[in-house]
Amino acid sequence: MSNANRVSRRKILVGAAAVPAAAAAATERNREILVPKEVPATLSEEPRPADFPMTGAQVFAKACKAEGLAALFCAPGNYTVINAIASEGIPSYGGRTEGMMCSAADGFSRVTAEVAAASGTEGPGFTNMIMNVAAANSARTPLLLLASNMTVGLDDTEQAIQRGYQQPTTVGLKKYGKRLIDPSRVHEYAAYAFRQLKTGIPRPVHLDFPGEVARAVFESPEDLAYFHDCAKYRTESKPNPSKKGIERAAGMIAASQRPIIVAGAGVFYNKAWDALKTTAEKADIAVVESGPSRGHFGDGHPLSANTAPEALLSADLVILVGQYVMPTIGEYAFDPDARYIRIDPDPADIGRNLPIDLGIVSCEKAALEALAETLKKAERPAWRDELAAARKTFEEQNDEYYKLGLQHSKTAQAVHPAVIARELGDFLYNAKLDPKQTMVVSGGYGIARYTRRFLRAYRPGQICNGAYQYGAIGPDVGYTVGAGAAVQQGVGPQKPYKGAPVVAVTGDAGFAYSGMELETLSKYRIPAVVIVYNNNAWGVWRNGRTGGRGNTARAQHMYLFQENLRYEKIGEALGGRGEYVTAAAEFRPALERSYEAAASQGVSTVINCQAVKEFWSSQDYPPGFLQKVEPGCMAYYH
Amino acid sequence: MAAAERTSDDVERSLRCYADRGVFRSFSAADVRGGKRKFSFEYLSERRIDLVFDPQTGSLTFPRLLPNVPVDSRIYRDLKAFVRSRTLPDFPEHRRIHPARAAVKCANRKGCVTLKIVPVSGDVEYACRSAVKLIGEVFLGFLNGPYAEYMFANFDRSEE
Repeated sequence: MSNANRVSRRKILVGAAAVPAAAAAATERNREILVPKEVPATLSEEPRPADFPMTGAQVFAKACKAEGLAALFCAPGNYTVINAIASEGIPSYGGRTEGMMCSAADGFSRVTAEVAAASGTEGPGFTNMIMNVAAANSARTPLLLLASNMTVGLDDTEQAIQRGYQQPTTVGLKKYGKRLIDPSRVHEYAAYAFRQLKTGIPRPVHLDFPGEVARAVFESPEDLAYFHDCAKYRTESKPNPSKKGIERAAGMIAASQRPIIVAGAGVFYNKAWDALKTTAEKADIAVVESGPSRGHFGDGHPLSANTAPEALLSADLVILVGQYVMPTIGEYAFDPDARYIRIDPDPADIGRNLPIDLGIVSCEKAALEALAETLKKAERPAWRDELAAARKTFEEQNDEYYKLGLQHSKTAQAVHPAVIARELGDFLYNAKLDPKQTMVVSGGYGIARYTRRFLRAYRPGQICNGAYQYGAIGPDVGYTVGAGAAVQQGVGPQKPYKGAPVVAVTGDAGFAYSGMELETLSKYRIPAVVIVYNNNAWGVWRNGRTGGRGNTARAQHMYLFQENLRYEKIGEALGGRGEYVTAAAEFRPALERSYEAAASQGVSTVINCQAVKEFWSSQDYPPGFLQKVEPGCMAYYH
Repeated sequence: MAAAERTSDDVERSLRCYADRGVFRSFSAADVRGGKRKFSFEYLSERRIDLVFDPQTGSLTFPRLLPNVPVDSRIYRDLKAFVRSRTLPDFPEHRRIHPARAAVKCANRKGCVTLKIVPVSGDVEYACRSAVKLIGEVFLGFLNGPYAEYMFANFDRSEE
């Protein structure tokens, strides 16, 4: 079959003008996929900010607007609240499932460092978000989780449907939560929410709205028990480091021969990337990234150790800055004799898991600025050389994997993950595109062990690290909606690349959880290329053969899918494009066509890359399933 | 105190420093046959690592460090090459095990790999530090490469 025959494409029509022509051309069996005219029409409406008299929902929405809530992602339900938020002018998106909209909000925050909200209806809509809020909680995302929740007045009655207590369900998955009960305190609880979202270590905040609160009407501010400007209920002040601590840290750095900073989520969320660069350059300190997003210290910098795993064991001093998800000994590839400094805003976490030689309680940005001031200029040419050599070794190993991948692709008549990873990297960073342009949602399971080695981040928020910490492989397309919306709007570090296409990598198992959100991408014209690694099985399929510990029987079927499933047709069916790639040489042209369609027409594509499950076998197709080294470009646990 | 006891104490003190810092967990020490001293601890995996010190020779041995490594396997070939590479002049000086100061031996008995570090010039402290670093290199460098399946099967490493 030729490439041309493999490409499926639908003509997408938008708006009222398209309707008559489409209607004329369409037959009953071949109707055009249309974006309803109401979508662009209502998106272009002017905001209609509420004023007294206001409902509780409007009071809350106004507080969100005042706090700079950057976006809302929802599925219908909690109607009064989501409508009020949209009316205030906060960019709002409606998708196919509450869970994936929750992941969209998570993805938005991971590439912007801003607070986003997710909302669903009471009962099933809310519980659909549990996996996704758990992932956001593990990633330390400042997510505002909203849900309606029937009425207080009829609690416990089981009158009608969808009654349930939400707050106990999110215990362990949030920083703060509250069922709003007293309507007059709705603004006060907005304050509680944002105080938590905008200070300290970020994590989700969950508010549930009974009807009595959302629908209450307030004639004037006097009807509210509490109605103040945010300057009265929270502070922008952040903890500063002690002079003594910074001087001691500077002394340890000066005495070190091979210092390294692990720049975690705290660096990103405090937008401390400039301070990080200044500090690193002043004293020739290597930097390696960790956390749910990448790019706060660019991979192209000569001090970057993101692609230098071999050098990590050489570091004699490790400075963990904003490392919210703490590894244990051995999870980060540092030498047993390495000394540790930890900089973190939460004193209660300093010393957990890794031994500290110095702890500094501080906002990450303030500490890095103070360090940059205090450090004496130092040059460590030997350390720079070692980093460069380690990066070269890593690239050479990647080249080896690519060569093997080409051979394996030919042998198996399928597409090996090393080919996808290398060709994707070459297209994004070594061809015609600005290497900083494309934001990538790096997800999937086994495929990610390859793609992470080849994906690069040259500016803050360029990679959303999909499975980070909670290990959920399913939300990848949900993250793509949110991260793509951030690029579409040009929010925060995405501003210079506003409107650029985004790329997502996921697996066939993961795609099943979130593939329907292709419809959301298409509806909002968020231009995306979604690469699905299709190996006909769950990535852990070998467990069905060996049981992990020996022979087993009657189990393998539970790990397998039907072979050669056509995921690209889902892209086509949901208003986008589809590409089916079955040979190594087909991938790059398919990627180029898809990127072009995204860039020029705003049309998203699913590229279904046909592989075989045996690629994870090191005996059949070495190196098989890859291990990883953390921190750095391969990391996703911490 | 005899010289052998002193060196044994030195090794214990050196290893206990790692335990005191939280690098090793569940550290213990006990005398074993032949006047040797066995140290046991958790490091880099939940599987306990034994380190046997022989005061007569100054050698430090990690017996049965890696199970299920057939002698004719690729992983064993690669491991031997990896260990040797840690002693070569082109390896970074601060991580290199100098052949003039300590010899590293890799043995395989019935599929179990044992690593042994023997001080060449009597510098037991150097050999001890080298032994600990070598374990780090093997687990964090070598086995973090293309040996995912081995780690899943033998060290309960998560497949997720």
